[in-house]
Amino acid sequence: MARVIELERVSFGYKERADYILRDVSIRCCAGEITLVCGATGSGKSTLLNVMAGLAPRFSGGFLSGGVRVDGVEPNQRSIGGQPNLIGFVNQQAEGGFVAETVEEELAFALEQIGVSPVEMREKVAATAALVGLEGLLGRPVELLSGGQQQRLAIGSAIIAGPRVLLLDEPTSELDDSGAQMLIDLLRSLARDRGIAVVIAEHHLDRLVEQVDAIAILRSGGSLELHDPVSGASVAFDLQLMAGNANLEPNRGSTQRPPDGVNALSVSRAVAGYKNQPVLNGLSLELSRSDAIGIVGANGSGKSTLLAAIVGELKLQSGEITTAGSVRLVPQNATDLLYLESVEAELANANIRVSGSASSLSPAAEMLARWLVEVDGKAHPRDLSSGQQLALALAIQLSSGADILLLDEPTRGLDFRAKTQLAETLNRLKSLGHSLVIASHDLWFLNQVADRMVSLDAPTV
Amino acid sequence: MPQPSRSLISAVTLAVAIATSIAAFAWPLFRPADAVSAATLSQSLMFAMMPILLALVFVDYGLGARDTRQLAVLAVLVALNATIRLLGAGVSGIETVFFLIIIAASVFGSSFGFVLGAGSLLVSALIGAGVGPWLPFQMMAAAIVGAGAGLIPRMRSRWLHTALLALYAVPAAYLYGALMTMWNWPLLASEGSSLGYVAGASLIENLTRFFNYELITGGLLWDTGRAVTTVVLICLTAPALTTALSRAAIRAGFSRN
Amino acid sequence: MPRLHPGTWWVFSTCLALAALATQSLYFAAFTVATAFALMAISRSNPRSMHGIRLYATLAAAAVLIRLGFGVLFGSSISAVDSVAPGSIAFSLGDISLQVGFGQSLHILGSTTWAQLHQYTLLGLRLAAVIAVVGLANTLSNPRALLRSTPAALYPVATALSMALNIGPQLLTSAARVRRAQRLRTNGAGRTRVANMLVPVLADALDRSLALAANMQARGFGSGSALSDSQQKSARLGLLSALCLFAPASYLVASGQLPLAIGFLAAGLAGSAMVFRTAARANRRTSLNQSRRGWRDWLVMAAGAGLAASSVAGWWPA
Repeated sequence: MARVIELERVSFGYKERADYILRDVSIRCCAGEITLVCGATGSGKSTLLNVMAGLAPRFSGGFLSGGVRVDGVEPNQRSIGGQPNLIGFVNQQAEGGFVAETVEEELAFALEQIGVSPVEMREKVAATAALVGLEGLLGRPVELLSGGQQQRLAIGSAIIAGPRVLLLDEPTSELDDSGAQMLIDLLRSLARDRGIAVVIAEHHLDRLVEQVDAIAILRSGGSLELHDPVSGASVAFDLQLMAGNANLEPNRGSTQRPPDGVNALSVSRAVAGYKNQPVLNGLSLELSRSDAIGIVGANGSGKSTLLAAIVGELKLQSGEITTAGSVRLVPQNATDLLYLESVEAELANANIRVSGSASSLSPAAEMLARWLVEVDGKAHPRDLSSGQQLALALAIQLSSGADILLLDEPTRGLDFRAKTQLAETLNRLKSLGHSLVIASHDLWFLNQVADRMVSLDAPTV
Repeated sequence: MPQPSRSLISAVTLAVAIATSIAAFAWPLFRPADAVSAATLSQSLMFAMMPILLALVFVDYGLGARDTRQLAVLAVLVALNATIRLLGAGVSGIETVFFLIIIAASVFGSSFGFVLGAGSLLVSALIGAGVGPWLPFQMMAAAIVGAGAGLIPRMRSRWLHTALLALYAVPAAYLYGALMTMWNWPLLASEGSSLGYVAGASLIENLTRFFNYELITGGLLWDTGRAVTTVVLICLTAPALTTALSRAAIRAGFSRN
Repeated sequence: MPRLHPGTWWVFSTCLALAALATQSLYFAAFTVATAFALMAISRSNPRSMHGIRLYATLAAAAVLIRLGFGVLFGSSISAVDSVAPGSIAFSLGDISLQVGFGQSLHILGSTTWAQLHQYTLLGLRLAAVIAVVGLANTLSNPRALLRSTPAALYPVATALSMALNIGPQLLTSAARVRRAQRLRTNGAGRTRVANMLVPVLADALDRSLALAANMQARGFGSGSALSDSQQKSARLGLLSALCLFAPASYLVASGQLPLAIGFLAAGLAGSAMVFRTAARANRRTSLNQSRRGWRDWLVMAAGAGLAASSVAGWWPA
């Protein structure tokens, strides 16, 4: 097979930082093959894709050494814009990442830039829409598409100009399992039928490893290792980059304090949601101190509605919720809680003392805060990793004493290591006497933390 | 011959456009008694002149700005500004469009400030405030406020910087008001009436009449409301927003010019 | 209504606005107002137009009333208007002299002649006509479509503005989310509510739009214009020279020296047209929904130009 992407001893870094993000990276990706790039968050997966796409360093700053060739051409010799007929690029955020108003205009964007005639454009738009399963939706505004449709639209827009290479940055992170499978099938057929070299950077490895042709693992320090799928999977497993099947059993440390039976929260026959179409239909559950309950269910099954009802944002239409102690919710976008310029400022603002012996309200908050300050107290909260941002939001919400802590999709955007750390933290919170309600679609994670699960799809468990 | 630098071209273009636009706002002040052509014809030409001036500066900005990221930052600020303006509309004396123009222009420079000012007014008109014959004039007046804010020197101390911005906001708010009143002056008050302009009269005489018009129509009250809102909003948000925007400036590859 | 090029109604409206401003005929001004509102009413199928008609009708009525009110209130003492409109007195109200502000005292009320009333109504209707025709263009043409079909030279700024139109609604949802999150946060009011709201909303929007910019760049945005650095610089210098021709033009217009002004204006327009041409020639971008002007467009624009010419030539009875 033809080698479409060739990286030869590539190093990349930013001048102001001494350390390299990529160091001596060599990789070849062939036409018709899917390559999976994995590594912990912040290990440089996105940077590697940006280098392949020719967006780094030109678009990002920084310096690059070594040889990069895509289809025999060095990206530096290309024109200012990208070349959509050579490289297709799908970046992380599909939602809100659209240029145009409607599906057809979004698909056509790349063709418009390279001057394809309107007649030819219409044909290609129709063919691509059919390929990614969006036929019949051409006139629809992009914001009305579902998450999976948006992801497929992003891919359609990236391949419409007929690139040799398709680069995807965490394409499955926002999708549920069936959506992810559809996406992988689509990528498979693109690679096979069109001979496109597909490169996926992803930390949700579990659903991908068996379906790719090669695995590249980015180690901390910026070096890259190449593996075939079988050996790659085991290395990734060793590196704790993936959950693996062995770990699926609930894993609770011996320091666990069992739920002591003191009632913290009780929900009885709760009905809430829209007037005529309640999302919650008479749900009941009990939660005692040091207890954790996992809420699962498909999108729209009422996970967020339940949390909003418990925290008191939403009035129940009928039924009752009683809580013993204070309730705090950590919303899905943890960064919404943050608005100051540094970690230290945020902590101080929440009255969390890191040093000194004065005991603050919550030892848990103090513990998280101390860890964050050790990492980098001066950092801007927006520059933190998703895991650190979540820890900061947790510390802030804990600081005012959260007897019952509600978490909405806490593992969004976390890699395996961060998820493990979060699970540890939450288990420690439980042993400190906090009760947890966690809404998530990450069953592996819930297994680590929750004592019970409630599914909102079926009648209550 | 040394080529003029990019930023020099921007600066001269802005200066010429703004100077030209002053005539389109304030032509009654310059009108001699023995003018050859009818005042209404001058007025109609000025209506056509303003969109042309704006378009030319926009083209120049487009030719100079080649990085998509900077257009993206512009788009975000225009959208935010236009939305905030609509949210603030309806409460008399509250004008919420200027604080962000001034803060952002002080971070990104005069050219950006000009396009941001004009673009904010245009987009807010398109999404609800209504497009009218006043729009090009409002756009230019807001653009002048933005371009001026781009000249404010950056201070080390955040408080000093905020104070400078607030200090600038007061004359800027009155200037915007004066320009817009100047625009509707010949349209609403008859030439030669006790509130209107008098062709051929001295600049002082016409400015006095203009001041009376501002006073009688309550324009000064609005301007004061605008100045107060803008100063208050700047004091409340400038330190935080300057930090957020400076971060964006680095990430979007802006070098202040 | 058949679909016209989005720019067509703007050309038509601009012609009509210029015609209305230049007219001395009460009938023409009234005719323009009526035509504009009739066209808006015909296109009522467009959901945006009902709201629009009411807004513009209110504004147009206000323009006439304010003009009349100002005329009656402040129009008395002056020779200028008297010389334009001498004649029989319509009504007299007590003449009041007021000392406000600076300068000579203000004369308020006094007597008003029929000719003056006619003049005030004409001036008010002119303004109403301009408001009506701009409103007409705004209701009949989709601003997004207009932004899409701008000339190549305006493409970057037009792109930013249409991105802004897309970002607007996102900001509202993001603001609602942030407000909720901060209600959930019970401690640390910190700073001020405004800043606490604005910072996350802005930071979020900036993050998203920078990602979008990378996405656009990757999909070829910016490669569509093949101007080299030096071509770009000379285009900008050409533009600046055109602008420098407009400057004297505008001051000549202000001082009423039209013939000379028109010379400068024409030169400036020619200069800017050349810059637009250069940008267009270097452009290889195409558009999926390319709007081309058809015979209908030319018909509408010719009608506008005809009306403007008839008004300037003074064919309409005063």
